[in-house]
Amino acid sequence: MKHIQHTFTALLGLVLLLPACRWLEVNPDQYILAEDALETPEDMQALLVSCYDVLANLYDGDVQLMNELRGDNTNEPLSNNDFKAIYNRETIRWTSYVGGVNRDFFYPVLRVNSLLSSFDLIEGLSNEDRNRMEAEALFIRAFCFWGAVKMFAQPYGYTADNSHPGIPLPTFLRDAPFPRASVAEAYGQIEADLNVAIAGLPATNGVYATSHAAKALLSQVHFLKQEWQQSADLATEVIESGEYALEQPESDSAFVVMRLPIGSSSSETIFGAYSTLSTNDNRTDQFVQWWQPTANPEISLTTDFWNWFQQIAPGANEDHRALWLANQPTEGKALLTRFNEHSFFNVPLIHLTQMMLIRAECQGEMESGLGQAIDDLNTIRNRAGITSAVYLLGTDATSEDVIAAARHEYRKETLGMGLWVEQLQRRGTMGEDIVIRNAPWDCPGMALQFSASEGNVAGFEFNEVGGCN
Amino acid sequence: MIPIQRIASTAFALALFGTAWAQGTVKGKITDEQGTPLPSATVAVSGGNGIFTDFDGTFELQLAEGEYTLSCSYIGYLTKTKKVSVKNGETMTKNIRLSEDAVMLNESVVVGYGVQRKKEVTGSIATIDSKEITAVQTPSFEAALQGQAAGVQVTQGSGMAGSASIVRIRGLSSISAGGDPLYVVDGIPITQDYFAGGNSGAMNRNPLASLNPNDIKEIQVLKDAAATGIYGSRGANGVILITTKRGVKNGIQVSYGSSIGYGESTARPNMMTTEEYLTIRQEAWENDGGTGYVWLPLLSTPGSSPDARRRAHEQALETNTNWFDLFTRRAQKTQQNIGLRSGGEKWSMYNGVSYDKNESYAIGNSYTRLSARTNFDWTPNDKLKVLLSGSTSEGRNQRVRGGWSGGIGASMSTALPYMSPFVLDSTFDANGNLTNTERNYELNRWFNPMAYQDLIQWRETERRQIATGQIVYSPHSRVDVVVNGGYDNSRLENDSHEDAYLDRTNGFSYANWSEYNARNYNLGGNATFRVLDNDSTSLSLMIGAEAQKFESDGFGFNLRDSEGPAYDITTLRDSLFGLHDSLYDGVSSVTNAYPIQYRTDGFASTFARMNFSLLDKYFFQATARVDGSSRFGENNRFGFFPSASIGWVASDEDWFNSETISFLKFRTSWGRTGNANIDGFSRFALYVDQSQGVTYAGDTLVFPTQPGNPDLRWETVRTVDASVEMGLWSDRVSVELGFYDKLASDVLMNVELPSHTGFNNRSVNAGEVLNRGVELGVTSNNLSGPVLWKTTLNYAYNHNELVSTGAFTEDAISGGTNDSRAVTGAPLTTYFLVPFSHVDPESGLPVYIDIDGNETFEYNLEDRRAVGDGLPDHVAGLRNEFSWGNWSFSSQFTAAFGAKIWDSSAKRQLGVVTDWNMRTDLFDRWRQPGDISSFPRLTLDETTYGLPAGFPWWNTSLFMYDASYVRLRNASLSYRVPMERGDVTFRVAGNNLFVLTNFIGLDPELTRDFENRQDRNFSGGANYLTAPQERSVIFSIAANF
Repeated sequence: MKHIQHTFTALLGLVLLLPACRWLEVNPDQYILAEDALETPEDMQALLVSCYDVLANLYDGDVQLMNELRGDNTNEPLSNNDFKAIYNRETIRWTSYVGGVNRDFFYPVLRVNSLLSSFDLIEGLSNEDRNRMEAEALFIRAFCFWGAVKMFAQPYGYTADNSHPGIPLPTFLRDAPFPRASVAEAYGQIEADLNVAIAGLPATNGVYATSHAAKALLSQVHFLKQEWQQSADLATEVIESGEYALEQPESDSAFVVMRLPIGSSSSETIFGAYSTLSTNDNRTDQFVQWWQPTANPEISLTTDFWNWFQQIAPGANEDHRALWLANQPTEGKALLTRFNEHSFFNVPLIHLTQMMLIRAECQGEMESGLGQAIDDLNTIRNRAGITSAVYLLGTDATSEDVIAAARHEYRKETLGMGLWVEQLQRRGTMGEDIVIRNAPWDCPGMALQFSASEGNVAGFEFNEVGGCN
Repeated sequence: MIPIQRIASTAFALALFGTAWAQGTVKGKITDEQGTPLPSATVAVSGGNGIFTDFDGTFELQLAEGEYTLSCSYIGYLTKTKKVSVKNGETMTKNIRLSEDAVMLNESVVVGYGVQRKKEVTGSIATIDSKEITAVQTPSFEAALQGQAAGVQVTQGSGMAGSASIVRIRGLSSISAGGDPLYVVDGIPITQDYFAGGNSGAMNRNPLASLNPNDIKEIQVLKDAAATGIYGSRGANGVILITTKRGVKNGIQVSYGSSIGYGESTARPNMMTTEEYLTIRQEAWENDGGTGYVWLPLLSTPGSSPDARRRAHEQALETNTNWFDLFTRRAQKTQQNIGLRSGGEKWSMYNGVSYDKNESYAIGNSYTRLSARTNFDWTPNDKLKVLLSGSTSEGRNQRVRGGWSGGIGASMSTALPYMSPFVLDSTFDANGNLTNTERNYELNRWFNPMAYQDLIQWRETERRQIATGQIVYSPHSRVDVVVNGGYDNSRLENDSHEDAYLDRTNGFSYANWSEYNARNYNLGGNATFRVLDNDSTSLSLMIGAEAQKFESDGFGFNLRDSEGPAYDITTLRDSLFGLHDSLYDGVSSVTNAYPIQYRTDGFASTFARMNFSLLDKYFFQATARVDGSSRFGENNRFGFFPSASIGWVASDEDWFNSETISFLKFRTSWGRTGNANIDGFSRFALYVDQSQGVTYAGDTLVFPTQPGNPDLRWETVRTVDASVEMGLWSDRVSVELGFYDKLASDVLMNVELPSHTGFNNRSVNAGEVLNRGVELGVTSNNLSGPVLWKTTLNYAYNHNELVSTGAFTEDAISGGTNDSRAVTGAPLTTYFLVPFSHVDPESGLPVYIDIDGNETFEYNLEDRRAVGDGLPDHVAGLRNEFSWGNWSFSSQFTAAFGAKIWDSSAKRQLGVVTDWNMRTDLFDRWRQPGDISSFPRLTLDETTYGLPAGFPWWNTSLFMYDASYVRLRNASLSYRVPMERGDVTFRVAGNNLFVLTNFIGLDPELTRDFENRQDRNFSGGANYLTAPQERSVIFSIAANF
């Protein structure tokens, strides 16, 4: 009987001990548990840097390329089915490239919201740093909302009160998905974020966002809202800040790499994405992959675009920017050589030329400050090598002349950067009869379709498919 | 050598009956119905104890003159008695043939953590013995389970060597967690990771392939909650208990087996010849309004001039390559195994060694296994028993690409018939005279699959050791205490070398190496108390605990400019990880070195079982198990899994009196089981930092990567089972009929999150899955006498239904790229497609069915709906065994009905004409108004079929087919030569000899590669360039002595 008792006691001990076994306690060593990830100001800074990191991945040519395909500069893509769907304005939930970019827009947003919700957990974080981090975070969030709403919704002004569907606006962390907000709400949120950003950002901040970047972005927002005065005022603040200057390439060929230097920031880049040569950190993959003219590139410009390009100051001798193009008339296309000089480079996302052109067009619309606008436009043309008075604006240029020149230069200067189609849409909302490749500017398919994943929880409102061709 | 048993039995008999002066001799042989000797059978004499038969089944008794009754018994056989009359000085021979006990009331059945008499078992357990496993000679044992037991559905892996089968027990309950049963070898759950090597080369590894089928004594399949409940935490999809062979007492038995065989594909793809393909392509071109010759992929472009297109056409006609022939062969197979069972009075040992080289019909592809096992039992006294088992194996898979990755898959897709694998490169001297002609792989224009087959050496090697130990201590006749432990260690090496010729740009060769290590530790103990134990009533309690820890890690690297595979540079490999590549200048250049993420998880459990037997006809069992898993957060870490069951042997009631029904038992059970087979870190909210190698503008960063779910909890399955077992006509026929109802709740789902959440996926408990079915098993001894005929039939019907997915829609859960979705109200594995109606005879365009049921020419993905699924409703197996004298013949048919195949690759083989070769089925296409055809008018333009521009994925039910089939899985003919000591059996067996099906593709039974557990659950019936099954003929010889 003693044996039984001993055995039973031993076994009972085993039974009781095993559940307490430490084998149940595991730690994913190669990760950081969320509760341990953000403890110091340095952690918060690292999280903030990660927001820029994914933003740079998003703008490594993806967004720019997709917006070019929505516009009227390019031919139909060669073979990529997703690109063709964008070009043909027939994206569907399963157009994977678009779905990927849809998702990419919200990685930075998640990180921003994680940062904003963690300030109270951090010891030793100064108010100054906190304000700066918050401002940087909100700038990034606004940048993402802004990029997404232009791509996945009809433009501001599509409806009178802008109540048409915009994008989800996750402004804080929660498990439940966010509904799709209206375009008015999206623009409201973007402006609110940017106003906080402007107040909290420093004037200089290395490669990261500054108050000028936030003002420049807000200027663009107002521009698309046709709020000319606010847009021009903000642009003026940036231009007159003294922080930026137009690049003056030393040779004709240097135009090819204008605003794209590696190793140092361009003097006219107000905000950009940065590649780092020393660590082989390349943030220009999509530019290089799809535009690269060495072979038969997936994306090319139309002959119509080439002809338009030659309307003013034809030939590279007159307009050095013609070096960005290689015309192949027999093939019915022109190749964009602009991204061909380096295997990777820095990507300008907001730059001084853009501000000058926006301000000029605003001044044209307001019919005030035309002299300054004419000076800016001629400066830009001079910088491009155009010296003939025939191709420069005279002092007697009208507001219409200014607007036309500003638009012309905007299309040229932002070539390949995906910024042209939004201007066409803006003009459409202003009542202009804008037709983009035989379809009205506001046909349903102009708004790219959201990723299928948005429908994984019932109730999401998708865009109408197609309807453009 | 004089058999020890013979000495012992004679001495025993002499001692028992001692009167040497007045006696006679009774001798004989105990065999089964086929005449196979039964060693160690018991021969008992009335009025005394018994003796055991010799190795060859013989016995000899010295008995005093008189009348006796001999009682002969053997486990699993009906006891037979025979009267003998012994006379002084006479020797009489009494050979006795025992019949298998159809009901096997007294057979011992291995259950979780113990053994029970079959009569007492209240759960649903199927037993498959070694004969049935080795009769169907398969490289991996689980494939041999096909058709062997009701409710056990096995889909063989593809014809590629080392591929894994899919085993489903009573349907499928899991969505994202693994849906495979738990495999337990000698009491220890083993590692079973199908995705350690991902799906590289379009194949998943088979974690069970390293187990030698010849080492297996028997397999128990635990199906219902009463049976699996004791494995509560991981019994949701059934449990397969594998018991390996052990030694014999006081003797030696040797078994030797050798086989050779041949294999070939069960089917050949009907790909088009060059002329056929050009005709089809030309027609599509002209249908689309093209003029002149159609452009040809790799030879011309859509923008080529008419003359260039004509020249391309003429060039194409010069070549007609049958790529499938180039990639396939008649495969050879060979196997050698030897088993030695030995033992003394207090010890016994089993030693087994086997070598198995299994070539597949894919050229260059083979799986070679070398394994050894030792099982040692030591019984120093009647209170202590020590059981030790150890096995080691090396499985080497010589890999080739397949499916979407190349090889045979390419022969059914991208390898166009007008392309040749080789080109002739000529060299000329300065005078223009030909100096040399060299045959090289054509690589300038395309991804030549033959080059990637021949110029890549690729092998996967798994080395695995499994060691288990068990100490059984019985301090009292009513108490057994068991302490056990186990260690399962495996290392998977993936090693490939790409010839420099493949790198047309830089001319570098590359060696790629990765190593994945998995370690699985088990420790447990239990005690059984037979509180009450008399002839009619017994009560026993078992209580136990166990813990399991799993770890995995590894590393990999790539070498540039390596002369050979990395395994040839072992010193380099062993010292490489973590070091800088400059150390290897002059040898090779390390282009990348990386760790494989460390993973770990653990289980800790306590469990108890109570068995109560009343009057040996009423049986009750209750089990309870508490499991803790590190995969769940503290709030939900522990799950409680109870079960209760009762059995009633009605035929033992006094009032029961039937000449027809010799045995009748009812049993029913209820219970809960669980599943935690998910990624071990799913519950954690995680960040990563720059240690992963990422910075921005030179600055460090940290970011969230996984949302985590602190509320993640056990997936649980509630099962109700009711069954009846019958023996008819003195158990000549036995029948088992069962009904079950399984409802899985809190089903683990790894849902894809909406894009705007910023996370990709999250694990949640959201689903409910129902499996409800009927099982029937019949064993009939149809003929006895000189000719024996035994038939075994099993059949199962299963209804599978996804009851709920919570708030998530169909697309939140999918089967990889296979268009299967989680559709509420439909089975798992449901294909979610646009329904195809017919080809419009006037226009030749496809007609679809919209969401309202109307016919339409518009292809709209919003019209997708559940159109079929890959889970069969009915599964059956039929086995017939005949024997006459020393001849035996057996056949085994398997069948499955009600499943559908989604032929995803047919989208391009039979759809829009693209840069793939196509199948001749497409000849039945629309060509002119009035045509009634299977396929619409040909086109190169997807918009012709209503597809969005740039969206070639034609997800329509046109490519969904009935997967029902009847297959002759195995047939074998054998002849046994009795020897003085033992026997030798010669056998010829054929596997997968023919299949009856309406499927127009290669083989209706298919298992493609999967991306993860969820894909494996969801895409069982999906095909994507999957290699067909293998047909094989095996000649073997087996000797026992």
